[in-house]
Amino acid sequence: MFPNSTLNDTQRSFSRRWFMKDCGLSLGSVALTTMLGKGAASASQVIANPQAPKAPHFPAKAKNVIFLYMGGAPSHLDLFDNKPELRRMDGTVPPPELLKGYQSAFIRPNNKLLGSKFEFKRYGNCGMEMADILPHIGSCADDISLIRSMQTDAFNHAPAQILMSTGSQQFGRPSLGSWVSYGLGSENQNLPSFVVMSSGTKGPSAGNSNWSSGFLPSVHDGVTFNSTGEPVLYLSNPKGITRKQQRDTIDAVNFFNDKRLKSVGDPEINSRLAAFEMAFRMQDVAPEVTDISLESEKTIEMYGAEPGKASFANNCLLARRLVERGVRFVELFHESWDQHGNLEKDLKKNCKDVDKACAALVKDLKQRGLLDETLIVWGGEFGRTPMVQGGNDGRDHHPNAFSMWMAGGGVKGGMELGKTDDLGFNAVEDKVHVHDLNATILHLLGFDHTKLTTRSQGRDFRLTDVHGNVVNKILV
Amino acid sequence: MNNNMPYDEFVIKQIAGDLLPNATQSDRIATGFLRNSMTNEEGGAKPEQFRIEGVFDRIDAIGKSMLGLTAQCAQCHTHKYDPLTHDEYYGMFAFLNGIEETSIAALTLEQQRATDKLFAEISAIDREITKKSSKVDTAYKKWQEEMLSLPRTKWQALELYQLGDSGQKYFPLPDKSIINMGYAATKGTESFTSSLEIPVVRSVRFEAMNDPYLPMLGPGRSTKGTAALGEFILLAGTDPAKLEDLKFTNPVASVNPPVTTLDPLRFPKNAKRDPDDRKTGPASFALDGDRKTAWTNERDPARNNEPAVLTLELAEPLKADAKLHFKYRLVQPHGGFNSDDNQTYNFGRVRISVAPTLPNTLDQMPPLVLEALLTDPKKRTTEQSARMFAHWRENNPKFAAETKQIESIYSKVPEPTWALVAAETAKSRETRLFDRGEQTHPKHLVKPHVPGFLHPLPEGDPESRLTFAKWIVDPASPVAARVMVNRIWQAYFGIGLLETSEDFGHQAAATSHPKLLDWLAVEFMESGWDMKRIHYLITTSATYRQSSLVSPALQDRDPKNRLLARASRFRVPAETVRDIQLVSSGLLNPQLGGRSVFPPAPRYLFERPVSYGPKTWLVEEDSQRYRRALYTFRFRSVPYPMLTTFDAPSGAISCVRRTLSTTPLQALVTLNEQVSLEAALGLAHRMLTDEGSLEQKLSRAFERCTSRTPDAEEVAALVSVYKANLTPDSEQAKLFKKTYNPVTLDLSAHPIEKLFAAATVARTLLNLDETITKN
Repeated sequence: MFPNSTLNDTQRSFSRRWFMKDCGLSLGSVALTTMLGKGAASASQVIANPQAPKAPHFPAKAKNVIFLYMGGAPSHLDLFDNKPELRRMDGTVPPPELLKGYQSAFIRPNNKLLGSKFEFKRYGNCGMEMADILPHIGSCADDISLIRSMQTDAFNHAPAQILMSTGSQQFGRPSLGSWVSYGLGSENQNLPSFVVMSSGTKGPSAGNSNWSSGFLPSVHDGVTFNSTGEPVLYLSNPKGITRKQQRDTIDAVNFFNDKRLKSVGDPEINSRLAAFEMAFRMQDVAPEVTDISLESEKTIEMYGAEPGKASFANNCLLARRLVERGVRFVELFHESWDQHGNLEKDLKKNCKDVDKACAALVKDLKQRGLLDETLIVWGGEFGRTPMVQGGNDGRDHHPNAFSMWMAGGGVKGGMELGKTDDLGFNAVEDKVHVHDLNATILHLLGFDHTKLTTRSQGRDFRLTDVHGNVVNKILV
Repeated sequence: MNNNMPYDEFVIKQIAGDLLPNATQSDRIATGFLRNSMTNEEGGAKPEQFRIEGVFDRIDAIGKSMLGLTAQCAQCHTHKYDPLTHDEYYGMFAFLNGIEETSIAALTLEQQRATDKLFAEISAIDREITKKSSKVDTAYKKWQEEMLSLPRTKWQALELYQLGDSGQKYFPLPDKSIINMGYAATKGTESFTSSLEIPVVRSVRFEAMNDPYLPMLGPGRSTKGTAALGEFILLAGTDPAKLEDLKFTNPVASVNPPVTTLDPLRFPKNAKRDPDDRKTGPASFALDGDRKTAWTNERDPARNNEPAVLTLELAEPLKADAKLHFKYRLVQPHGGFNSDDNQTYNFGRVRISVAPTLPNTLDQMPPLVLEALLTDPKKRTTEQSARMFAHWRENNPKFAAETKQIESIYSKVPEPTWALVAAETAKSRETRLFDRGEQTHPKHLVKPHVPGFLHPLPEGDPESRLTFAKWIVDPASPVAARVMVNRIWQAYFGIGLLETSEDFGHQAAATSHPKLLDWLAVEFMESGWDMKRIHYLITTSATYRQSSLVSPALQDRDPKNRLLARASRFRVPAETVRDIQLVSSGLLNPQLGGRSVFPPAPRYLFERPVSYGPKTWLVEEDSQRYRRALYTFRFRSVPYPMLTTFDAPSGAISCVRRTLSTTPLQALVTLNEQVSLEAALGLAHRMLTDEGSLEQKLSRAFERCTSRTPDAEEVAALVSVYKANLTPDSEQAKLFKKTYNPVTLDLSAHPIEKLFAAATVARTLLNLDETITKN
């Protein structure tokens, strides 16, 4: 323990007393209210905290976002966009006029068309059409807006991923989650406002640029959580250091910092004091938040989660726990969808890995009354070619058309938006560019996407650059 | 900085060092500044797209760091605020468009001296041979005549068209060779087709060629510019549907290295780096039907980057009464398991030729020797003559002893470093303005020119990158000087005299002391761009030497200290945070220069699914672990977490001004991260080995961290922290010591209780705001 008695003999000021007096927090245990983001922040914390909650431009439909980022780009043609004509033309060369000016990553103009090998079904009261390998997501059809007319500009993973994440193919811009954190602050002072998790066969190809704060302050960076082991980097006490010793060390540090604050008067020292306190609280809170074994067996089963293992299902359950505690933006990367080959086998596996958990997330949020204020976004960085790659069981990257779905947070249920042509090659009706998607997400959070800006390098930047139209047709 | 190179000279070298007359290795390496742009080696990436992205990035970096100009606006349209037109942007683009991204084999001064000495020894041996007797000279001349009298084989190169869609891309060059650019697979076979009118084929030639695109000019794409060929496979026939696998015999190569097992560090067959059963060696390995053995051109650093040739004879002549169709399979299974790392062992540029006759000695000699032989003796360079003589000597059994001796000297040549540099294309590229900045929408041609709002280019100078570099630091405009002195000011005061140090344009913040900025800029230029002097001038000024104490009134009036009525107080940059930990604890390894280092970091960050591909991060287990943070290896996609937490940018775009944040994650780093705790034990060790009373020892540790003497209250607090921690749970204390024992220190002499107590004090000190703040 910090040597209370000795210090009291020699000096008046003492960090623990200072802390209790000024911050009104009890030490040694963290109040549940604070943990859940409902605790009253003290004056010093508000000054110190760039993450204080902020109001958006207008009343929002959604308070939180869970972005299920299907990295690698799932095949719209095999999951969401049924194309009987493509099946009919299977094995033939695509019409040359279709390929005029078309740039592909791998395939060549003479690669033949490939019809989907999957059956499609109509789901829900709305009769939304999806592949039969997505029965669980299908069962949520009446809560979903499915967009079949997505478009992007890039046909390689890294540029396309960051285009979706940051609105630019060039690296270095702030990501969607960082913009949201910047615009809304955080409702929970013990946890970061933007949390990122990864599952699947590998990490996203654009790496941490997907959740970088770019030229926004780095406090808005996405913080990566692990679904197993230490949930946040450097969260655990050092080996051989007990919780009490850690507390005592922080008290000692605070004592010196406080003394320094009084002598030099720099308010930044106050920020440092607050940062150490939040760090300590995070050490207490985060392991509990990320411990999904605390959930009921029924809930765990619903997601298909397996406590102690790393999986997309675990991350979905964790995402719900984080959102419940006021984390604004949770992004789950599941980079597994780059089926240049093994399309049939890998799609089946991927759907098995994500279908149940995605649906559980929608249903669980709904039963807890959180779906209305939580926007779920599902999709990858682009679509896949109707043409085959590598034998008869693969598809190349394709930017001209792909599908995404959203649920909750102010979007319509049972909504199908947009159409592609008969081969699923080009979006032809109600086209939604990635910039439009981002504008819509910001809109649902209460922002005019043209007004959420930051000044850098001599000009104002925004997520949608000079583009973006809100997709009104899917809004409630 | 240490040599106080004038800043104008520095800028010229950064941008065009390679174009200076008699450019030195250092001059060329300086252009690495232009090579720090991003590349994309995804399977589907188009190299030309990323070359252009690279030029955009270079303009951005030069604009922000040297011209104080956020030029990138004008990539798409005429600058909205500053007098920079769309055309002028592409005028600057044109100066940089000729850049070829290449690399050189760089040697340190020490290595260069060692290499020179070894080469001198080799020359001496060869000179001795010629001095032995006049017969030697006669024999050598006779050999040359014999060689020149040999018939020249009529090789016909196959124009290769790549098949398949693996993502690796081979581009045809005018000489019918193909070059592999962008993504490089680490193991695999690529297929090509070709056809040719040729009545009979008796032999085939495989040439491995140099190219500026390849590491150290190639011919391979390994980090040493070398490559390995698993097997030579060529199919042919007159009916494209029925091609037959050709049978070959008598493989002869210009280079035949000894049999070597693959190094699991360079080409690991799995993440565990298990020992390998794949081998490389002489020409026969390309024709033994065993894909685990490969012919390689790699032998020693002095000769790894020479072009090489392999000839094969057909077992039976292939006669054709119609056009022959070919299918060539380039079999390269000798890379590592991870194509997202530098583990390829592929050839970069190759050419396949066929001939109606059998190959002779000329076809099988090293291409550079052949080139020397065919050069007019009067025009042969010394190097060419030496190369030719060496080849003759190597193939002459009489000099076997000398050759053996020379080979042993070659084996001592030090391994160079792969240094990324810029070079100028042999053939200049045309520059077109891109409509809305889109490279898919080129418009009219643009000649190299500079923005009209600044001084003009000197008349008569060539339209070269060197001219552009000189123009930037031409004292006719004070731009470069203003930008640089402002950035130096920013380093000392946290904020520049002009806060937006990347942007001096109309949208810039107001300058706090405009006359001072101008005066410093002029001083800087008039002193001959003397860097040390400008640093000295600023640091010895009364302004800089003020105290950082601030009254509430002043804090209120001038929170950011723009009026400089006090010294600025700000948290040091990320790298300095780490350096302070290392210096205070005594762990710092002060070595200057050398390779990048890999300090401890959580393993999982470099593995899937956090990283896209597994990345190599072999943690240093000796004093390299404690090098200054600026030597930390940086992956842009997985930046070093400790540095990122303290606001170090990832390097995706150039950055002349960092954000400065105070976050809980920073506290977690200094409290719980491995090296921070090793530093705590290092500082504890220093405390315990210091002289004097406990108070004195702890005070000195305090000074080491804060550069300030603690007052009585602070000393008492440190003593009480120490005393309160003298009775730890001994198992826990031992675990702490075992986990964080610095790799360079033996701590066994200290009683565990004292060590733990001192380490607790050290952790407190290293976590203080004051320790990582410039006061």
